Amino acid sequence: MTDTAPAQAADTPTEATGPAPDHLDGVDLESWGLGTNNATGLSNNKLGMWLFLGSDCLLFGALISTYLLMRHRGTGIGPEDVFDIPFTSVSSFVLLMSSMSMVFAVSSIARGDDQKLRLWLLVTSLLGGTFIAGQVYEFTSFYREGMGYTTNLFSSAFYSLTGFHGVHVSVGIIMLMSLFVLSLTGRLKQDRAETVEIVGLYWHFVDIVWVLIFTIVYLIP
Amino acid sequence: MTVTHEGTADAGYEAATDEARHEHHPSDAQYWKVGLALGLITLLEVGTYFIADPPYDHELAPLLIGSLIFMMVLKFIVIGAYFMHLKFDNRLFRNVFVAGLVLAVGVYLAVLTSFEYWSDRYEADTGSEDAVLVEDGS
Repeated sequence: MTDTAPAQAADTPTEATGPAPDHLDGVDLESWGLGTNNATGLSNNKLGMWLFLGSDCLLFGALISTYLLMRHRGTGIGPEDVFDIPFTSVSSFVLLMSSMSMVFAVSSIARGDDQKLRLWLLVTSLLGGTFIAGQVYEFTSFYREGMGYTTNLFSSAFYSLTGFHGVHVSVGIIMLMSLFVLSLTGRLKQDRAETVEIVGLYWHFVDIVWVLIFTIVYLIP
Repeated sequence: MTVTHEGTADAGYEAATDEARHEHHPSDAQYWKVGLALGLITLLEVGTYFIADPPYDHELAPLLIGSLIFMMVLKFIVIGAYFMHLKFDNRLFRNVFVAGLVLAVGVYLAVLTSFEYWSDRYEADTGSEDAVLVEDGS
């Protein structure tokens, strides 16, 4: 055999790895995301999600830095005129708690507890929905106070940043509801725990982005 | 160099078992504790804001804003480490994410610096949409 073997192993994992050694008997590698053997021995799907999240940092970095540059450039309405810190604090807390419920969903499917999985997925979706409802209310009240998307540079930067985050949360809710339906129809069992974990990673990322936005945009205006 | 398929297979499964050993996810009770800590930090953040409403006008502004940024970073790290399992998962996942994060922070700090965001001159320019254009002579 030549030294091209590792490349072949990565391309044809089943042939290359063969049956599991005896000491792994009874270990459910698939449920730990280890079924997808490749050169690293890690799950490609999970690595793909981490790569996406790493690249998404650049998107939010651009939006946050644009907001920082534009927030005081412009006349008329500004952050201090419209922000309602107590209201946004409650929204932030709700999103934080949704991260909590998401970890319980992940641990429920890892234990094979389908009912709890569905419960926590539903709770996470509802908390996410509450956050979005709060954002819609906030945007509406800002608009009524005279702050439209094109009112000034601050308003454009603010709506772009928080709006993009809101879209991320909405996409997350769609993914959570999809998992809920899959579980309800019996197509999401313990052997696909990694799927829930990957959606969970996305959901937690949305949460940590809001941690940044809440402090940078709202608390230090 | 000669590499056999058998050798690759063994290495792969060794990596898998090693991974399984390190995949020690927290228990539900630990998650509750982490969640409680995060909730308390959020309360502290909001409390810091209301100590001096708003913090940036207060005589202790640098301290208050520094505290807010510290708590923000702390929450970020705790959520990443425990909820996203970066503390327990394979290091490659953490490295991939941190690489994106460091790149983003580096690039956009450079952008802010190139716009003289940190200088007093930037502060003096604020409040007028035309400030930059006038300065450029446009």
